[in-house]
Amino acid sequence: MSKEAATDLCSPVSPGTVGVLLCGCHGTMGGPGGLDAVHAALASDPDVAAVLSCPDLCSAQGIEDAATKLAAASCDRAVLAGCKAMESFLPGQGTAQVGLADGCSALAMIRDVCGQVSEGGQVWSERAIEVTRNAVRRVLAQREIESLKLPVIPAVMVLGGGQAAAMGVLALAEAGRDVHWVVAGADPEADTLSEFGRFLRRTFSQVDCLGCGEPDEESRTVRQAQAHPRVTMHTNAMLSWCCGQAGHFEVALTVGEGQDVVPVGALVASLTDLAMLPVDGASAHERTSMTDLLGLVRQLDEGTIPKGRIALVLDADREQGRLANMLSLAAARFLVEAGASCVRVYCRHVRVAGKHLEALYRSARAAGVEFVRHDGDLSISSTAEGSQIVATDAQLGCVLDYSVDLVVQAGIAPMLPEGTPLVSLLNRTGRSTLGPASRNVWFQPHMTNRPGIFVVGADGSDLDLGRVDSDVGQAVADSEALLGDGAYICADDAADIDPEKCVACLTCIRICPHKAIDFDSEKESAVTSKIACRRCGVCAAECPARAIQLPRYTDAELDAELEQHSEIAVFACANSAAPAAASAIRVGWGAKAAVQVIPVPCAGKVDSRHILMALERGAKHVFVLGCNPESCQYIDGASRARTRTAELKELLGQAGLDAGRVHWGALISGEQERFLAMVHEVALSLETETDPERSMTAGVNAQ
Amino acid sequence: MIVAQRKPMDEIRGFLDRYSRVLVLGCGGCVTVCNAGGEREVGTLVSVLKLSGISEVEQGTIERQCDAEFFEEIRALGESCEAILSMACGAGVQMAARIFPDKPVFPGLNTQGMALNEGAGEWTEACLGCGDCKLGIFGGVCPMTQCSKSLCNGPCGGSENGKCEVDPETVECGWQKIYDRLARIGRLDVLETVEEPRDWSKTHDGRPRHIIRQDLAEEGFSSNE
Repeated sequence: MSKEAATDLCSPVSPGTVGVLLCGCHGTMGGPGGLDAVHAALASDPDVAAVLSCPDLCSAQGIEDAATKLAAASCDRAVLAGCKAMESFLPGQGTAQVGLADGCSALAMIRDVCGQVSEGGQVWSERAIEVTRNAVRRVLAQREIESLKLPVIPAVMVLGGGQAAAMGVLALAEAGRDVHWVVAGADPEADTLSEFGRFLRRTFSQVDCLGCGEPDEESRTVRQAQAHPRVTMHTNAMLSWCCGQAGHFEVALTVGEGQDVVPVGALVASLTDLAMLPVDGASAHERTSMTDLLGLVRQLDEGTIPKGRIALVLDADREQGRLANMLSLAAARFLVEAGASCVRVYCRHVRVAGKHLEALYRSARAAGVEFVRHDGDLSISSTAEGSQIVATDAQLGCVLDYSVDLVVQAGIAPMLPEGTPLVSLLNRTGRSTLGPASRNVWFQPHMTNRPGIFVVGADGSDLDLGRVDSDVGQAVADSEALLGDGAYICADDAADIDPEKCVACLTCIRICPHKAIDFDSEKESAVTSKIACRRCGVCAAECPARAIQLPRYTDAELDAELEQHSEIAVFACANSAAPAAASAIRVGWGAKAAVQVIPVPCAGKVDSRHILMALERGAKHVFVLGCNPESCQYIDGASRARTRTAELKELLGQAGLDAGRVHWGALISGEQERFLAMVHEVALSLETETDPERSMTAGVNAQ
Repeated sequence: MIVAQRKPMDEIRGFLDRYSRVLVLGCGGCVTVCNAGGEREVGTLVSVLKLSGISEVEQGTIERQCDAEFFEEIRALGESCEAILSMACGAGVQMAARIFPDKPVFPGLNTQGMALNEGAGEWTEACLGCGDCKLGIFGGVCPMTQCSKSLCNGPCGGSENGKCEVDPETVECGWQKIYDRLARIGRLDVLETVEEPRDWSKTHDGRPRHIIRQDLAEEGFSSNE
């Protein structure tokens, strides 16, 4: 038999018994055009076991009472038909306590389509019936979602030396966590970040630039952390490989000739593989007239202080982060004070608005450091006695041509080269040293794309040393939340891969933004980590064999949802478009066209097939609305949705169909006006196209 | 693995526009793995075909289209349709045509050959199936596919800085790769031997290749014996 039969889209679920809780809005909704008609229609629906008109569904107590009554009427699944106020009840929160199956409930938003409110009479009641029946179908397609308690390894590994690592180790150990501290050298203090920290402290001690009190506090934290009984030190150790997922990592360390494999539940990386911008070609390191920031700091530490004319070039094409800025400013000032004849800082857009940075900038200027803000490229060429720098002054517009004795490339490369420990740990290339997603509003500086792996210190997006403290605190808190008392509690709603259908194509493993899927060679199937999976559904949308289903958003559930036959179907990302749609509807939806908002966890969950299914069932327009691609909670879900929609439009065009019926849009959750501007305009255009009487009923009568 | 790509939509529509009931048949083998002809792609194409006006479009995806047995589950469905669009590689399309001798069978994909997967959504051609593998001589780099001209005795004059004159921007010189690899394993001496002209009869040029494994083949099965 064909694998393709529409009913076979996901693993079969045992159909439960559905009851409908109909909001009576405190008795105001009666009458022939109101909910009485809805009640009667649903009561005669064979899929509905019980209909209860409830006086109060907008309070927790009211819902609990109603759900208890439903359970007493031997229903184990519920549809709540009413308004947005009941949303906090969903999905499945606390339903198990009153005898309903967890995760098996749905909200039918009928408030805007019931007769009393909308003055549309019978037609609108019919729409309310349709919306509620649709929710019943969806609830029937749902699978019961249990709560899981998954064992995790209650230890954390901290990678790297430096202050951030030491603070993390100490905080975790003091919270009672077993900590493995891995440092590259014999001493945690002997690494680049520590060097930078000490340099800043030494050259700029009058400003409390590290956010700590006494100068030797950093050292004290390191010693305390090292001596803590819960801390196991791994010195002279390098990260070799890391496999597994949040809660169950296996980390291999190369120690001398041998290898240690350490099982840990979470990783905190404060890695020192900061990549300096290359200094003008391969042979540059041999040239005495050029160095990079690290080289300069080392020279100054050793007491070799360059004199003469010195240029510090901040790579200003990109935002450098505060560490590079601070170090450059501190070094420039130090050089002037140590007797350099001229120190110039070349920059384009150095941001000095930051804790301590502005003071540092002012004091550097006061000490005599010159700043050149230039436009366009800067050319550096070597001459017999040093280097020649040519730049166009941004203010004066004139070309500045100076000879210098030493050029310091003060930039930190924005991309980590492949093969560096952090890149291999995150299994994601091309990310910036300024954090895995530095412009993404969903990401705090310590977060990475991989659950259970945190970054602190200079590899985090925040290079302000003064804020290392709070990043470390967050990383420690998140590790604690993950590892708890050796068990992680979550709902059993991670992306579900059917091993029978998996063709081992590796697509999901490669595209999962969180790298939460591994290949299980025993099962011969990809398997999702229930802990690391963030439930975005990007994998389910891309699986070529339809082997992956995301609970609550399975193909069967979306299929049931699309039974509604609306004129406009809007797939709305739960993080942006769905709340925007909800508030747009709350403030008053003016268009009469039937618009159906279908919430999805991420726009990246929306597969072309779902868009096409909506079109097949009569939708005149289909929207896929998600977050702005640079701020997708699931990193690249929104950009995938955008590309996928564009490709589908192209395909439709090739097939001679109107590609203009499919729309992609990006917005944030507060942009109800934007939502209206996109969807409402199309809805209004539908009304002018057709007879107004018809367009009102089209949504109902399309089937 | 065999890699394929969906044919342009107008070509597919050109095949099907005279039929009102068609079967789009996916293959669960290589073309599913290369995201071209599995259930997902079949589902998408079926929707588009329905929307573009073919009144009845059926769909099915079988384990492999290069084996006759797997067609059993969709035979009745296929018989009920006027035409079949096979979303398999060229081999699968031909098997489908054998299974349904009285039906027009069309290819939905352009088969690109045997390729390496370079990560999600990216493949590089790696084997022509020439029937006379010389990878052992060429340091594990195939001159038939990696050299734009399939040269077997060193590079042409168009190799510059490791790039091929066919497109110096994007195409690497296969012979540079062969040289680098042989240098790395210390076997540059191999290149001093002149490679005899190929025996093309071992390749397609001889005749359609027919492969028999005697211990498995049923007696009397092979007509070419």
